[in-house]
Amino acid sequence: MNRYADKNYFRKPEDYRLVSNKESKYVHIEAYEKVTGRAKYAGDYHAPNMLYGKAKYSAHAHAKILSIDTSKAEALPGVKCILTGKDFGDVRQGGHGKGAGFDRGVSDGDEEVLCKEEVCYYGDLVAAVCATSEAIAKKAVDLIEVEYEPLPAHYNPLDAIKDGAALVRSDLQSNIGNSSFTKGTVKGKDFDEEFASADYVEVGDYTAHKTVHACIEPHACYATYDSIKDQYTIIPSTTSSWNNQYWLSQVFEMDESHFHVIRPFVGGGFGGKSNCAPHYFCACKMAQRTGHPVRFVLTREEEFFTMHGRHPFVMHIETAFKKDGEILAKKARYYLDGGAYGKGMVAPVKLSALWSAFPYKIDCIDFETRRVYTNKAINGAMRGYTACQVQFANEVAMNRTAEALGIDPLDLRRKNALEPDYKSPAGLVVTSCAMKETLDDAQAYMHWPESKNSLKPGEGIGFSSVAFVSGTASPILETPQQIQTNATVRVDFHGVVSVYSNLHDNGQGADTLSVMIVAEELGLDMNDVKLVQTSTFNAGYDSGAYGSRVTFLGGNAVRRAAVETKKKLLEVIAAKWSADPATLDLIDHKVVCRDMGKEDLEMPWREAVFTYMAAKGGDELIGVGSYYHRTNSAQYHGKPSNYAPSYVFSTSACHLDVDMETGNIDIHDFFFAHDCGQALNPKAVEGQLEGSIYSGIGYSIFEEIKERDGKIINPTFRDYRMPTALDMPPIHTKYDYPPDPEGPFGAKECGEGTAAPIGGAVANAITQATGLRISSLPLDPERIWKMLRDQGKIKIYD
Amino acid sequence: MKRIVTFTLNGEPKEVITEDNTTLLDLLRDSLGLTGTKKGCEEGECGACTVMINDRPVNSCITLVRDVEGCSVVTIEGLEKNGVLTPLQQQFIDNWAFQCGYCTPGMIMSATALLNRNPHPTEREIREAIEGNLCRCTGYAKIIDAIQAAAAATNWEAESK
Amino acid sequence: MVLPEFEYLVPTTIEEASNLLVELGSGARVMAGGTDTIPPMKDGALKADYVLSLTRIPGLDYLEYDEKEGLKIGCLTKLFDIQTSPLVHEKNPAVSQAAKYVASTQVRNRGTMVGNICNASPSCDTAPILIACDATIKIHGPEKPREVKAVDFFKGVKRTCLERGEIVTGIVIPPLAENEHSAYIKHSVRRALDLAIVGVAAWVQMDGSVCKDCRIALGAVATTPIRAYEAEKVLIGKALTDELLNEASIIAMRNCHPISDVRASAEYRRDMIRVFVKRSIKKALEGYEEGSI
Repeated sequence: MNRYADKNYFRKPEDYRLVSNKESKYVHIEAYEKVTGRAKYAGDYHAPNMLYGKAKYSAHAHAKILSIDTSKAEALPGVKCILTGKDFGDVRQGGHGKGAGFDRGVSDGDEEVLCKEEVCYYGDLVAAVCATSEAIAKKAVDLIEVEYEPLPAHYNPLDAIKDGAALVRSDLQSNIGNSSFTKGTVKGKDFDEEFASADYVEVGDYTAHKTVHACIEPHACYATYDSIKDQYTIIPSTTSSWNNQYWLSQVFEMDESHFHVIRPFVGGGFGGKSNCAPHYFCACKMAQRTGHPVRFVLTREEEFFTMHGRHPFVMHIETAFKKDGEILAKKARYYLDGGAYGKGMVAPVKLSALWSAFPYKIDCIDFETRRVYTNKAINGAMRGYTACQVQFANEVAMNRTAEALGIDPLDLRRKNALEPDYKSPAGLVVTSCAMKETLDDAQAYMHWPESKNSLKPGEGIGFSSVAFVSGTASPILETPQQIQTNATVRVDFHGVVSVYSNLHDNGQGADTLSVMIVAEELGLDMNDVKLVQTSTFNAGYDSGAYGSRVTFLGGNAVRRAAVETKKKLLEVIAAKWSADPATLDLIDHKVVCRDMGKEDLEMPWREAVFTYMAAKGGDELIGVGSYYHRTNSAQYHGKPSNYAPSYVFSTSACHLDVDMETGNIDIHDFFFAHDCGQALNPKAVEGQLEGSIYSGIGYSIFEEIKERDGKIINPTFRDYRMPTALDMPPIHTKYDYPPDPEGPFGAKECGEGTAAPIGGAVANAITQATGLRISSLPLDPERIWKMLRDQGKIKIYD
Repeated sequence: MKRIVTFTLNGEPKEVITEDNTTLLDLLRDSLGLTGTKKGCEEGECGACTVMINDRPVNSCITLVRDVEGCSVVTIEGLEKNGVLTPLQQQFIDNWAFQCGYCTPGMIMSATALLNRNPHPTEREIREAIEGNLCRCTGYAKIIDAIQAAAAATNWEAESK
Repeated sequence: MVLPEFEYLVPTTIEEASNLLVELGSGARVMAGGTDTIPPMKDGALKADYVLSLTRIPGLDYLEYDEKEGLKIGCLTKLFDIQTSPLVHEKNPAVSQAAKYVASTQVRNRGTMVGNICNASPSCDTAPILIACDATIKIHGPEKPREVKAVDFFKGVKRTCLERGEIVTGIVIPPLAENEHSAYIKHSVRRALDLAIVGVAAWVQMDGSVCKDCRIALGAVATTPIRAYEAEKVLIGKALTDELLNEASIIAMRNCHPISDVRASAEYRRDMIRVFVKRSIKKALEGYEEGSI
């Protein structure tokens, strides 16, 4: 069943029982496990004969490997297996699968599991050990001797792109990969003419820093090997089982049937767990070599330096405005510091270009994005992927323009705001859109502009608006029809429903969503629907939890599976009643009939299912569903295409005080209005918004990866400062906006793009409070203090 | 050197053989199979491994097994009694006070210790009680709601005895 | 993470502990709560063949007040107990405040104030207030007990005045007279789980609006917590006007030479000393409201 499934059978809004239900009928299906400690995460799997894996990392930012001597480590009692690069073939892994981005059929893996001849950053693995205890494994790793010849290294992307710059990796042709460069124009009108006719051109240079996901659960995996079946079973902390399966099959050069990837509880993702970590390959190889289960659990320090983070950005933006505030055209230049490898290099360049157009009506855009390799830790997907950086700059620029043109910042946004059914020259098709309503709500909440007059010195209110995709276009693999998710609903003759969906739950509630959708469509309670712990072998494909795709794309697939189940059942019962099946419905554990004159007919759910199976010769009642949004890369080659099936819109508002002596920021109130269409579950939506604000405040004020000569120098929770409960302000959210026509029950994205407007709101509030001109993130106390000093706002004594 | 350590674990007497350098966290997870206590940073900076020792919330990752000799240790597995959750656990469920759930056991242990000591804390006191528990998902808002709701439950004091 | 191997020793008297330390030499580390011992051992910053736990020695977990001597804090007294003690709140609230600034609730439920100062980190949260209040550190030695002033206790990064075999058994903080006030302010990015960018403690003795005597102690700006003697001199004998406080703050700033590290730059730390010297004196004069800690 495709996206054009029989919508006649979709549950009608007036009959929703679980959707948007505020009486807690919508239960979190993993609640009990999570509050009792029973939930098992990858690192919780254990067996008495299990071996502990540990990796050895590069000692240089860039070097040639001259030799690796494992003899001392091998001699250590308790060491069971040591792997080096020669234990793996030549296939490189990493990033998305071959369906990645828009250039179909091309694998973008560029990382060796274990480096053979060259290391390109401190997080590169050169060897791995497994032993009978973690202590022995650690000791063995220390005993491995690696001889290096250091090579020149780049730590600054702007240096790495200079003519004649040494290569970051010897396998590269250039420090900008082919697909990590994108350039194009979107022309509704003549670009130069628009700029020439502008009344005001806002020009700005901006930078944004690196942060990391810092999931409280570090990456971990538990692997076993069955020598009879020649089958690997791996339980990894992942948000994309199929990505893991794909890369394992590529690297081991065996087909997918050899790799059973089981999805455990995952302790946070935020974009950090969509890849197959090198350690996971090692665990599989070691399990095969030793016959023992092998477990890797990364330490916090490893998590920092060997896992990817958020791209630092250098941005140049020029925007042409008419004096009434209308945006005429925009020019954007972005340099992304990619680190040593790709990690889905297509996505960040495409996405950052895409955000240039959001959330306003801009008919002329000239963009150029370069993702540059450096000999540093890799950067890739992270909550609000590239939008946190780009939208910070865009939204600061909007406020600067408002100031220059003497227009209220909210009015300027309103004037240009995207609207329902807008089609951009780039091919983006807006469906539902409450952008203006979010501006109105933020304005009302902050009593703007009246409140401006009562602000004390150092006190400020700032706004920021963004748009984001609801469901990223491309699946990670080359799939039929670009399918994103396959789901199956199965009902046994007792009426017990099992749902086989593999929406990747990393805490956002994807499993609960699957169950809720099926229960809603079949008129059952959530407890009547059982989610099968899913794996690559027992449930359909799902691309993974990334790109804000789970609710919209995955949810639609599950809904279609439920609706097919419903339709099949109703058709059989309708035949018995000689009624039109479209007039039957499933309500409260019953089949009911709304056909004229047959309103008294009803049949209990269990009896209906039994009847169905009897009519079908005993076959079980099964429904399948899938969903896709087809798109292509045309818009990046000057032709229109629509990236996502729908888009979301948010406005955030921040009210804060700046300590003019210390640079400390005290946020007293944070408001967030988000158009996520119909909220499926208000509590979950609030949780996503609150979490996004947390993430955005962490990004804007508290968190920063600090590097010296390619090495991360604050790889601990002590010095990588994530906000604590004491650091978070009171949060108020609003999300009641019209349903989306295509989203499942009208729902759209929530929880990723919502991290993007925080930086702009904080920055604009600080500017309002202090008059500071802000061009870079983060806005930690020392940086604010330096700006106050450098911009002559405070006296400095020496 | 191997030593015998005796203590009370979730109300039951326990005798274990341990090395001097074994942490309570590793003992719980690897030897006793109590994996509800989580490993987040292993340096006392995230609170995922919080347990109660003699009613105090502490980081089990930086506590030696040798140090719990004669003490009473309570882990997340020790809260539920005969299938009945504590009011706090129930409020975590009702308020959707978790997302990925990885910080949840530690969070619940810190909050349980707080409510045992101070059954009706202010919001500020709640935030202070969980200041050492990092949560990457929720922004803490719903966690604070849950703890406040549990504190408001009249039977809390009786339950905790 | 792997905690390296060591032998864990549990002496039951202070004499036994002291003798063990003499016998074992530099490979031995004394531990109370362990919160400053286990983490650095795990990441290799601290090496110890023997860990001596003081936890089985009776009589070292006390928190008392004596009208003459003042607040007495035992070496096993936990930071959380100091933070929450009504006695400390009443007699010297700045000490509660300083205790509360340390790390997190969990750490303070194991860690002790004595352990905090023996760790001798330059950014140690409890040292400045002890120096400003002129606390005495009580030391048990293999030959005889001795006492040193808090300001003389710290000798360098992670170094104290303790000699082989010596163990700190307690801290004594003199009572605050009616006209004496103290405060400690920590400046950090986060409100918990953070280390001080700077920490400033002040003690003032007033005669009306005139400062009769004062002590200012600075943390995180030198290898040890330090006194701001020159700034103190500016204040003593004068009425504490805003102008005078500014002047003293600038002097304190000029006389300190912090380093740049991953947490803050030297120039920022210097200016923050200026800011927090005056704020801490003001805070001392203003006092701590009940329930504010």
